[in-house]
Amino acid sequence: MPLHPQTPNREDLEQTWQYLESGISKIMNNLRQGMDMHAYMGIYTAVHNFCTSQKAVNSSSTSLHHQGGVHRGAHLLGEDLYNNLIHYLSAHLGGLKQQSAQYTNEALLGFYIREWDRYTTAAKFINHQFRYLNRHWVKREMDEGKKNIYDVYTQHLVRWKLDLFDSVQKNVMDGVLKLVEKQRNGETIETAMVKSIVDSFVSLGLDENDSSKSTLDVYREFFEKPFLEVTNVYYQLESKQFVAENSVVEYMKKAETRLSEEEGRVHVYLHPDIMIPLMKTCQRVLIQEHKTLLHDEFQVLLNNDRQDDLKRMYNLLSRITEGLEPLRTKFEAHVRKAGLEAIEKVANENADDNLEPKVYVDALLEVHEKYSSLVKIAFKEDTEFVRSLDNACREFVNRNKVCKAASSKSPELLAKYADSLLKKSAKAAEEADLESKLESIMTVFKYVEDKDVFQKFYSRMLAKRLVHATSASDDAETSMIGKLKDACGFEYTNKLQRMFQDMQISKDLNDSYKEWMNNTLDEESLKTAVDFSIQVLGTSFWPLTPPNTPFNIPQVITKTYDRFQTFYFQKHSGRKLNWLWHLCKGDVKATFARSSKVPFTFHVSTYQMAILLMFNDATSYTYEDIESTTSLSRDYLDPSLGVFIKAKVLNIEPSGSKVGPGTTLVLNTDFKSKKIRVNLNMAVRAEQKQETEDTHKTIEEDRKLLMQSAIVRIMKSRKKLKHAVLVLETIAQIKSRFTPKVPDIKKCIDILLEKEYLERLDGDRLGYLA
Amino acid sequence: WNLELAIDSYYQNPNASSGTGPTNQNAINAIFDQFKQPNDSPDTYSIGATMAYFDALGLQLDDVTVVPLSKALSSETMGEFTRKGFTDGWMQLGADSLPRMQAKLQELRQQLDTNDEYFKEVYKWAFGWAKAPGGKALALENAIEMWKLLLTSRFGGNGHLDRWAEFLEEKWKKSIPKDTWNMFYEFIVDAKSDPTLTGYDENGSYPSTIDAYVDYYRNQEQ
Repeated sequence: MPLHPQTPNREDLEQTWQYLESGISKIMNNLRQGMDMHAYMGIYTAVHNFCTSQKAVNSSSTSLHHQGGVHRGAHLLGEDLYNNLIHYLSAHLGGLKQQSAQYTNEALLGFYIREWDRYTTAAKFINHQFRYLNRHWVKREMDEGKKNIYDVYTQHLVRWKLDLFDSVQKNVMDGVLKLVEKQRNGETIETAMVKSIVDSFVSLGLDENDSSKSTLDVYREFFEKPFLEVTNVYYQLESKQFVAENSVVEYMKKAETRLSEEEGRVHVYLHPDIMIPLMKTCQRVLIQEHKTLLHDEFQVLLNNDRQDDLKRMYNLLSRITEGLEPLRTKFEAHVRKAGLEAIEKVANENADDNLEPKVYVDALLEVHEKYSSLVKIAFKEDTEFVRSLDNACREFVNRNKVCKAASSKSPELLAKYADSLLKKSAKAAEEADLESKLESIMTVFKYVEDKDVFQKFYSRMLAKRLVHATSASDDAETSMIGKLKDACGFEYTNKLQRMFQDMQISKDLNDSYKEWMNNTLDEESLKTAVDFSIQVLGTSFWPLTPPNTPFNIPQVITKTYDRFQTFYFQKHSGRKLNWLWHLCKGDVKATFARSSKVPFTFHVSTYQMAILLMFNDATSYTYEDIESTTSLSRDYLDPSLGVFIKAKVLNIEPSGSKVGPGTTLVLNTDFKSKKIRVNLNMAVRAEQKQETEDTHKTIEEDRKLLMQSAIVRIMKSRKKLKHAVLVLETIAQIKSRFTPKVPDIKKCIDILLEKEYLERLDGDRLGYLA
Repeated sequence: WNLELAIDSYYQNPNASSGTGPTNQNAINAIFDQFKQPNDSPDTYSIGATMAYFDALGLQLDDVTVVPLSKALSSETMGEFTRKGFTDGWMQLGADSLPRMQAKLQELRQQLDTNDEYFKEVYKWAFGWAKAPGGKALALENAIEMWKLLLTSRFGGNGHLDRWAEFLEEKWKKSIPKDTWNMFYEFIVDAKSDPTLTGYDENGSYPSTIDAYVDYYRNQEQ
């Protein structure tokens, strides 16, 4: 049965407070024993009654603050109750403070948490019972801007903070920190305890301006701050010691573990607010303070290809600012060095002229492959590392031992490698394999600065593949051109594509020529007509030059020659045909050899054909005879004869002498060959070298034009421009083809000034003259 | 400028031009006819006539005043004048007798020596006047002569003018395009305040001929 006295006289403060105090005290100390509805409501009613009484018995002894009767009824009376409550709480907390002195460490934590729970639970009830006070007196006081007036619950927290927390928090925190240190040392602890402490600290943060909100101020000041300080000291000590006794790699593992432990600690029992400062602290002590050590170790790890450790180092250093910069610099230098060494190695193993394009390109690719996979695996494809890799690759692709003479060597070899892949050969690559090899060409191509050089060589070799029908696959050719187009744009591959078109047009042309012949020639002429096919190629798209030797067209093919011209000029009047005899070839049947009944078929160049056909009329000619009949220059005549002599189709007299004036060439009727088809049309090595030189020469000219047209283009759109800006923009426009030098650009500007495309304006400016 | 100069001189020296009334065009024409040579066409002076005329004025052919005078009289080629250019020019200058013309020559010379803007104008104009008619560039020999004639008194001090001529003869050996002519003036002005060319920037806007000269100069100085 309830032991409560009857509801007190509503007008008697002393009586009312006594009644209330006994109830509050019960709630505070013995809530577990329960409280019945009647007693609970009794308190509520007493507060209500007291506050609404009109003539309270003003017992001054219990009234703490006299306000001189200015206040009206309920307010004044509320203040008395409120102050008495504060008084009670202070006394209660004072008692707790004394009790707490007997505890330390974990026991103290236990005590603190226990009392906190009891106190805050009671506070909720009491707050509820004093709701009437809250709603009226407290609200009014707060509305009037009174300091230190809070709702009853908040007042509980304020008292806790002032009367207990301020004096015990240091001891409590000591306990917490000792507990955490235990855990850091590997012991198991009761983490819930820390969590409760954290929560209680957080609850004490009150917003001075709005008591309904809480702040983290108290928690930050009394928990976070000491926690971070201790953490700092702990790891400073530990890391110093660890580093002294272990390898850097071991240390990185340790740091990695510690960082993830601390992160886990936050999730398990700390407030999320500490995450950032805690991580900062740990990163500073564990990484920042040891970064020189890590930076120094980087080169060692790189040298030994320690991918996992490099990854670990990257992850650690990426957590601090500026941590990665030294790695990037070292990485770039390392890759460049690796590239240069790889090229130096192949350069030393192969003489300059003998360096196989494939060997060179493979060496470049190997280095790139290795480090791009490192960037992927260890450096998370960090864009800065990707850029360092690109910088390094650009360096060693364009400036290495092989390119010492000219940076154009790289694109030249790359284009030759592409040619070797795209050309028909015995060891032709599989389709899929070929595609991936073309891809890898593009990898190197991306780094090549002199893209115009690649274009030149590529188009020359493509022209050869097309003219000689030695291309391995149309699909592969198209795919490669597509890739180049993607990388450099339509203009870059325009001519290459036109070359393909010409090939198709030529196919149709041959068909219509055959048809034309059938319609115009009589049967006899058709029978004796030479089997003939032709390619008509647009001069401006094909990198082909007319022959530089005179040549008498052999009688046998003059008819065909005339006939085709007639046909073609009928079809396209006004066009001009240049016959590229040096690129033509034919098959001749040779019946002179006594060793074989089946005639041999000789595959020869047109020049060789002209020589061989002479031997239909006689079996022996002097060198001079042949020279005057064919009117070939010796540069072409000598090698052509040379092939015949070597193949023993012709014999030279006096035997063993060098081809030249004064010798006689005799048909070798004893000619033998295992094969019926004999290829005698072999390119001459000297010719190839000459071609390479010519290609380089045309590149210089093309570059001048490219720069001039870029300058004109820029000036046309900008009209007036500062000299320096024009130079920069020109470089920017041309960079995708090659890297122009400033003096060369200036020369081009001079030329354009002279040609009056440009004019000088005042103050270093140039103007465009339409 | 012609008009300005004429007005200018009118106020400074009213007696010389209009003291005895307005300039007489017929008198100028008469002077033009006076020195014409037998083989000249009626309205042009060839070099012979020009020399006779200059003689009468007491003007040497290698006097720098020849250049501003030729400009004032709209001469298109060195040593040649047309009647129109001659009369219009003198009308504008306001002189119709040999003594007045001599006085004007003094004024032109003074303008050239003291007025920088005017000097630059004459300098730029001289390129078209000195080059062979129809050509785009100025023959190297003539260019060097013109440079020495025009620039020695103003810019001869620091040796760059001579060195430049030496460089052109030894290394460049080509004719001088207009841009180089114009920009050399800017260069020699710059070189006056920076005679060791320490501030010269090869990547700047000077034409490559001048870049090459600076390179030549620096190599020699090392």
